[in-house]
Amino acid sequence: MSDTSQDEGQQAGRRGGQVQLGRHVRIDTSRKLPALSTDTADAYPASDSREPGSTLYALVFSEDNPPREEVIPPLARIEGQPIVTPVDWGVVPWDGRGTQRFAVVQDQPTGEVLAANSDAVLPALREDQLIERLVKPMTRVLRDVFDRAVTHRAICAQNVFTGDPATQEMMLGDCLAHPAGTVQPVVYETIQGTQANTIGRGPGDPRDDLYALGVLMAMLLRGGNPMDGWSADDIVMQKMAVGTYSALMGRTRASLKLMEPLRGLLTDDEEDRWDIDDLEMWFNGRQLSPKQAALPNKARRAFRFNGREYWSAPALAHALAQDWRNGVAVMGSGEIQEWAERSLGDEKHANRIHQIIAKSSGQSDDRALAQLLIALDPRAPIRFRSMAVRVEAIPEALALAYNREGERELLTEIILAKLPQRWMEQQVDRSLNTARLVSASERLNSFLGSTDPGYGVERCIYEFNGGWPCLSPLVLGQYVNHVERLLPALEKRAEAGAPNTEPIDRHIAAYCIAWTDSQTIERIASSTGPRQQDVMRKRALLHLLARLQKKFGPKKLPALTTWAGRFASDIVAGYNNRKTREKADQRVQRAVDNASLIELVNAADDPELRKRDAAGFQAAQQEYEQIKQEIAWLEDGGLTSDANVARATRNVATAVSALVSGLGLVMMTVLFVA
Amino acid sequence: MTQQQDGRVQGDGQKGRSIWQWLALAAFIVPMAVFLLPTTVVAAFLLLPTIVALMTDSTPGRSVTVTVGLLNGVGTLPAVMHLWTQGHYFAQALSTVGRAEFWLIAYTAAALGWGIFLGLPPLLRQYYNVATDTRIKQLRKRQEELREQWGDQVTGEEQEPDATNDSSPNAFSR
Repeated sequence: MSDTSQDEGQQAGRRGGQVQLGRHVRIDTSRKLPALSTDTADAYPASDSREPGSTLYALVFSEDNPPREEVIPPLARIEGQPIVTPVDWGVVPWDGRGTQRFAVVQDQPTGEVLAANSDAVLPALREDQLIERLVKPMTRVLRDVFDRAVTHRAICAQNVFTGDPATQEMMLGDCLAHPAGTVQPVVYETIQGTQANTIGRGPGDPRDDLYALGVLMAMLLRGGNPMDGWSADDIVMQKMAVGTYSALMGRTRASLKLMEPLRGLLTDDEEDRWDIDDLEMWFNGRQLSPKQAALPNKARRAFRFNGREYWSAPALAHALAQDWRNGVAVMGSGEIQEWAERSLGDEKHANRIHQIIAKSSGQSDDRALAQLLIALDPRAPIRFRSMAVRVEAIPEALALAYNREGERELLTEIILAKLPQRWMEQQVDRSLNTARLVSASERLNSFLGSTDPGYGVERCIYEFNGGWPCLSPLVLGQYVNHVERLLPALEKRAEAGAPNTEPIDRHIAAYCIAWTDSQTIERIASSTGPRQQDVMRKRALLHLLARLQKKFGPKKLPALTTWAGRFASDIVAGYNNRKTREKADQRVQRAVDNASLIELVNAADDPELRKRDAAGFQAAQQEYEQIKQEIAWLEDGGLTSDANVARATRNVATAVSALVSGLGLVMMTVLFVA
Repeated sequence: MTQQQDGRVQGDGQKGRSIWQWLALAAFIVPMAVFLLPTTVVAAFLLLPTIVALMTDSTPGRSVTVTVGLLNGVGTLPAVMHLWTQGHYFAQALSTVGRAEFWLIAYTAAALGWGIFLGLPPLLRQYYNVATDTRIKQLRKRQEELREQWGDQVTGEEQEPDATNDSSPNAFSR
């Protein structure tokens, strides 16, 4: 696209404070909607020409805080349910400087939010109100959500609305604006979710959403959060000590009918927790006996740590993780092993702890303690120094922590230490798809094991987080969330003034590999690293760009081709033959004029021409060397030497003598005959 | 060098000639010389320069002997022809040997042979000097052409490793 047509496109997308999304949706960027804005995205009013009366709003995201793009299409297919669902989405031009943003247009939630913030007082509902207004609609909503193989992970009083006054059904709010599980207050998280760092909670599974629903039910039933103001540590310890149900309900009495789903949803044993089928069956009248709280096995003797007594392995593991330095010291003393063998009362568990301590000898203290914590509480997230992350959340956590150096390093260490693999070895929950997780963990490990472009943390981000925008500084502000958008974004960068760098960096290399899933692209991209010879690297980057243009277009990229042309000239300079260089230079110039990267690579790096040039150069070198030797021989008197003159004299004298003799014979013959 | 080797091979061949070969040669030549005794007498006197050359020649392939011998032989022919036409007798042979013009022809021819052999080296040296200069000029011109066409790297001096000459020139095209 030429400059003019691009400008026209941007003007078409953005006119006077109005941004057009697709053919029908228009976003009014002249005023914000503070009530619907989040800390990751600003909200603006929006309208859809197909439904003029609809109340829509748009959330606008930058690359720094991208939405959960993978859940948008599934959620958009949900219709007629009390949940905020996306209507339209896509990249939109944002300002006159060519910045692009990702916008998601959704239906505005109906009614007031239950709790504007965590300090707000929650209304108390009667049991029948709770069931009719919350549990029934949420069951329908969650059934639709789970059927689309996604989770909501933002079920909390701050994201549930009073809903339509006619039906009184509450409405579930947006779940795209934040990474999964990061917006819920910790009390809505399971014990394992609470133990994890905010970025380490991950999308989880339906049981996490159902647990959060259970927590909300309990709060609305008793009219508030009993653990309001508690630290995450205290919440975990309380839930571990008495179980979530008791921790939330306290002395509040629920009817036997409502106690069933509350206990079922709030049970801390994931295997025993109610799923959506159980909830639907309960609505259909099937009676299930209320589940008792599944508390951790109590040891015969408490383990004393930091002045407090811990009666179960999970509680001890949690305490050790909270005070890592002392935890390492206690681990080294051997007291834990002794306590597990003598007091835990679970021989198998004690054996596992013993084995893992034996296996981890020789490793660093941090790695050894991380493994010990896994053995003590296999269901808990992986904990490593100040990082706690659920295994399935590691790729997303890497993406979220990319610009937070400390957290990124810890996550990298977790992967390189193969802690996810150790975690899976300790799992007894058969519902876990460990094969998938093992495979993913191995791939993460292999990606981090290489420093070549196309690997490393960047590859982990793009390979496992579909829709995560490319974070390359070269395309920042263009919101490249699909490989098709990469070259146009680089073109814009070039138009704004191509930097003195190469147009491919580690992010772009990893992004291309992850999106194309092509071994050829992977091989080429990995050749763009600084370890490669300069010309090889430049050849690789030209080939990569050309392949992208061939596969994804657009046909004309004038500014980017000019940018890449600099590197093409360096490649052409590598030809030995002057005429070949001149011809290739002309072809490169023609390719630049035609704005084609494909032509450019063919002009600069013709394999057949390179082969001929190399062969010709070798022959020329040989010829030059032969000439050099011949000159040296001549200068050393090769022809004028005594030996050569003597040899020539012998030959010439013999020949002249024979000739004269022959003539003499002829003459004599003539005379004799005459 | 090649010539020296050739000469050595030839020398070795002569050295290696067995006594039986010499005997076979003598068994043919001696009766023939006796049978053609008048001719042998004439030849013995007039081919004296060739015989001297044969005895003193140490060049590879005995080129002096060949050069002198060919011309000396042709110069001896008028005397031999005269003997054969006047009668192949011993007296006639002595008469022929006694004629000065036959000596003049034979020895002048032999002298021409010697002259050729001794006079050629300065001429050839001069020729080779000119040829050397011309050839060096041609070669230097060709070197210049190669340098212009392929760059200074073609000389092999200060040659940097050529990154583009990888073993797989189309590594990215597969």
